[in-house]
Amino acid sequence: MTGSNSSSSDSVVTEEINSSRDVGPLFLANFVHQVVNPLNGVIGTLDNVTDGTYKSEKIPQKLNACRAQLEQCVSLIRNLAYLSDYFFEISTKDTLKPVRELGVSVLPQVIIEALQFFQIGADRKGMKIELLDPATQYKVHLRPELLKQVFINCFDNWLKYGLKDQTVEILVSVNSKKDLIVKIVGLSIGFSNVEADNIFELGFRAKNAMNRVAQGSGIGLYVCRQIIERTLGGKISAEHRVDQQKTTFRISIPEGKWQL
Amino acid sequence: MATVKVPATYDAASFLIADDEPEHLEWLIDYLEARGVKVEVVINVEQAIKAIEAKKFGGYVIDLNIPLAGWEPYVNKTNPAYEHYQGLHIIQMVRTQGNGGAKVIAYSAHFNEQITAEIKTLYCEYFVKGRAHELKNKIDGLLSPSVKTPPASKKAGKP
Repeated sequence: MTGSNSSSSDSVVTEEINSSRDVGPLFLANFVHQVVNPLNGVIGTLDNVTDGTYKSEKIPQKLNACRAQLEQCVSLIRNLAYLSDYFFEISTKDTLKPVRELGVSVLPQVIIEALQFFQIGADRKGMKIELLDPATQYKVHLRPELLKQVFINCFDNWLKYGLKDQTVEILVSVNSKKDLIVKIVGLSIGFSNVEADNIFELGFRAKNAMNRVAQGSGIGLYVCRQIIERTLGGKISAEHRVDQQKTTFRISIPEGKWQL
Repeated sequence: MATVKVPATYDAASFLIADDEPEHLEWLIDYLEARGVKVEVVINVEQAIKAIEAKKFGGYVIDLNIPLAGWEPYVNKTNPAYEHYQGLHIIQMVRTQGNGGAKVIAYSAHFNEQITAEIKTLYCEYFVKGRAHELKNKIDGLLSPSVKTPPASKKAGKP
């Protein structure tokens, strides 16, 4: 595990903390914005219920929207928790090792659970996100809650920046080096490939994303990178083909970290 | 130097809402529409400038964190407050057109001195998100009697 080398993991932790300090104020401002907006939606909706703006037949529909807004807040707050969980993952404390090393995720199950989280939002956008092969039971040596968060954050980005009325495909394969490869492919507003690596940095948001929505937390894809690269020793990357508006997120999990 | 156009049309029973995440303001749109107000929603500064040049609205609710999209600022380009809170550009343009500050509501998730200082200069209203009831009270005050319809629950018990 990554945590077995105490001096290198200590320096990784220090580097992470310093990096967090650098982007801290901007990150926190973005985070506040991202949490307050949906909560404001919930407060306003409840106020409309109590003052009679919403008549009885409309109330269930509006309360469902409230639930989605609260779920969005929970997802953001959960990402903060996963940042701290990531420090747990690289901790050098021996007592934590067994908990980490016993963790196994069944890949299709984790992906489907993450997809369920976005069902309503995807339907609203006319978007389908499909795992093309749900039958092959690849197992990844990682706690399911961590791997699920990776997919939740990726799908959250598709919902925000993906184009309407499309099918986003999730393809799983094994390459010649015996890495397990997961690709998420679909249409999006895109980003410059020069920025492609930066979108996984804490607090970074691509120019196209900022033109669509002024503020995002800039935390989701950062958490993905920490989990895939630092914890699993894998690789996560993204590319966009402007001519086809096609975006691909690619996750590779090295041999030894997965099994069939 | 380019400047904002002043429209010939004035529609007192209409509101402009500028917010890049309007799905979180559906409650406000519903509230206004329930009172007979026509609501136009824009999601960036570029769209907002087009809308305010087309007509004068009865009220304006402007989120301060909104992207410029294709619009290029020609004043306050290097003002840090305008760089952080790009919705201030819309408010400045609306005020430049001669709209009264009482009709113009800056709406933000943030409350800090940088914003309050600019709001004083622009001489408009400022509401922090999360206080729906107070914003509604303000809006009720703006609506003329002809468009204001009390909600059903407040009607209850009246003869």
